[in-house]
Amino acid sequence: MRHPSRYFADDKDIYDLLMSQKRKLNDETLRRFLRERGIIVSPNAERSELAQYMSRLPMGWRDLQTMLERVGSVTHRTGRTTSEAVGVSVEQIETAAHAVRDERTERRGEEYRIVKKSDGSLEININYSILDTTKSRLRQRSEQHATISVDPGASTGGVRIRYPEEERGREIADAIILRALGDPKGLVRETIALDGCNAAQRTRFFEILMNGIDGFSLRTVTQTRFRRLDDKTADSELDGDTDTLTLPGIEDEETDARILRVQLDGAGVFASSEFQQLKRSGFYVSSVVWRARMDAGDGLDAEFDAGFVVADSGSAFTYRLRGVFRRNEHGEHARTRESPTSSERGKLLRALEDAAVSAQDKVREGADLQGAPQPLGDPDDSEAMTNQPNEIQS
Amino acid sequence: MGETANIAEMAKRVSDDIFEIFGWERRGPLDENFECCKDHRAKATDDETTTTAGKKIKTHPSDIVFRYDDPYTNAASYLTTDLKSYGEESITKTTLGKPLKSMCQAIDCANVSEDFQQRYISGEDRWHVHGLLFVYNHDGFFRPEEFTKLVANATPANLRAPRDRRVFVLGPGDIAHLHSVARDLMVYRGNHLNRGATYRWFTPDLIIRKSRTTSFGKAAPIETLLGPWQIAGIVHADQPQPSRLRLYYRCRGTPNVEEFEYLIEFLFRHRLLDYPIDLCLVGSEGPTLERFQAAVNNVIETLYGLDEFRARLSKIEPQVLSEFQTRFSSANIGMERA
Repeated sequence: MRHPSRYFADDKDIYDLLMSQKRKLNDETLRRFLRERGIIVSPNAERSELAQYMSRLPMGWRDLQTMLERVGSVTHRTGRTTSEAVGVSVEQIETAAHAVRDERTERRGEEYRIVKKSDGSLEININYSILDTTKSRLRQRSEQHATISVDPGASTGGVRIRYPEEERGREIADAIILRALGDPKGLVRETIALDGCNAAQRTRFFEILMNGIDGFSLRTVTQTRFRRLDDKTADSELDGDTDTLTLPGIEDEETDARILRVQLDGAGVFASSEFQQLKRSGFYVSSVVWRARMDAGDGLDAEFDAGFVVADSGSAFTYRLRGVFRRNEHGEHARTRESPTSSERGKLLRALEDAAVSAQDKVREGADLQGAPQPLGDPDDSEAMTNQPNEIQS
Repeated sequence: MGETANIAEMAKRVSDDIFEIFGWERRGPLDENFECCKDHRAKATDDETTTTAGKKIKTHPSDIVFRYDDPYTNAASYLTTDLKSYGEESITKTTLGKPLKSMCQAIDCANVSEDFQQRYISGEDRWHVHGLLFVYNHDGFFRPEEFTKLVANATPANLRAPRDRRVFVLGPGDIAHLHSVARDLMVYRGNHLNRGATYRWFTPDLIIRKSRTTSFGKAAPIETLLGPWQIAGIVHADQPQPSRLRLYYRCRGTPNVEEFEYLIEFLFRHRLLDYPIDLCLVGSEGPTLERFQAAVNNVIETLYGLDEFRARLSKIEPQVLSEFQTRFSSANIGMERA
């Protein structure tokens, strides 16, 4: 349950919120809020005057909600997901989900909504709040949302459970799975993992994955992260799209020895000479961002993002559908990415998961060269792959 | 009855029936104009007043002026008030926009006008004049939420209130709520209280500005009247502190459980749970009492779980209070002038 006391605001909380959120709660937004209350203030009033006046107004739950929604403390984020195949039925998961809901709702302050869909899948939506003490008091609590989806027909004959790759999402999914399995001895859980694989196999996994999504053709790879196999640190950069440092002198053998991670940005990364050089230097691919085009239908482009959280052990394969680029009436693809519909998201993630399972199996069997697409990086691969990366980062 | 007589009658009634109960005093004459000292009205052809010397001057109208001590500024707040009584059809962006603009100009003058000060302000050094537009819907058909939208969408460029001065708007929904509160408190006083008993209005202490002596004051400021609830402390004769609270909660439709949990938290933080409380749910629809009970249960179970807390919350007695319908006027008032 989301308890309002977590948001209780005294005048100082309101003042701090308004003074720290000048962009999301700009002056006109504050004036409008006041007008809705029947109060008209001077257009010349300065921010601090507005904030001070508003902080002395009596505020109810709805007033606060209006403000917190504006600053994003009540909104949801969509991050990366991970998944695993579990040897149980959708019904068993459903029963387990209800039990976990009953157990955790009060104790952990979580709200559950469990929905059985007409296609036989199950969706479990959880709302909860987290605490960040580095923010102003009113914003310390932020509402979070996690979706756990359960599709029938996984390769193990059971279900595929997809859940957010963050602590709470994993914890809830784990609780549901363990309860559904009952006896831990009979545990049938299969995650996508590359533990024990060498650098070449790991890179090969991504090559097969990107070419192996059913109904899609690879268009271009826009970002690739490389690591050395002896880098033991967790890939904390997986969640970030920025904040990487440019490291010149990658060709320098002496410098090379100190570099653990490298990122290549730009179109056609896999076709670049830098990519080939990194492969030769013992680096392997730990995550990729790429665009793939749907062969049939609207021919939309989908942008995926996939990698391993703990890269060296090759565990926790996480992925995200970043968005889609739709075609306009002239058949041209939009320049800006948009959010997929719920059913598009489900279909595309399912296709990605199937491709990942298949890629994993091929890599492990070492039988990936027969009938598989050409290794990426060949000079004549495709038009989209010939562009050079525009920067080298580490 | 002419417009002038109508205004005077309505002014007296709203003053006696509503604002007096909230501790506001009426100051100076009713329905008079004061001289414009800033050329706001140079181009206006209306609101000219002929002086005894036969000279025509530009003026701002003021139907009624209220005064109360503002709990947070240590200054007296004066509200020059423009009373309107409109039928449903007459409440439009234009009929609201003109008097709002006019009121912004009026308070610009009133804060420096010698004429205004001589008529309404006497014997004090620290005071501010704000404006109050009182828009009564005499046929009762206008929806309160539509009124809120009209004010929210008013063009900001036209509303040039002076810095640190404000114009307040009480619309049909606010008036119905405040009149219900005022009337209930009068009935309660008549039925339950002995001679000498009175009531005080609660305003929360501020953390940023601690400059006052009591949380229970003689008057409720306009911000409290426009807020989500009003809290009256019942004070018996010769007692320094209230013995009971009457809390008027303004229900907009059916309140949700979270709203009530938040209210309980508010009462807890401001140490008001020490008092027995009559929680008057004004204008509620649907299962309001059930939601309140759910909120009480949630708070007890998930937050505190203490017997002492349970006992304290049991001293809150919720009751539904219907909105009181009344007639302050049956005619259009204030249509001719902005």
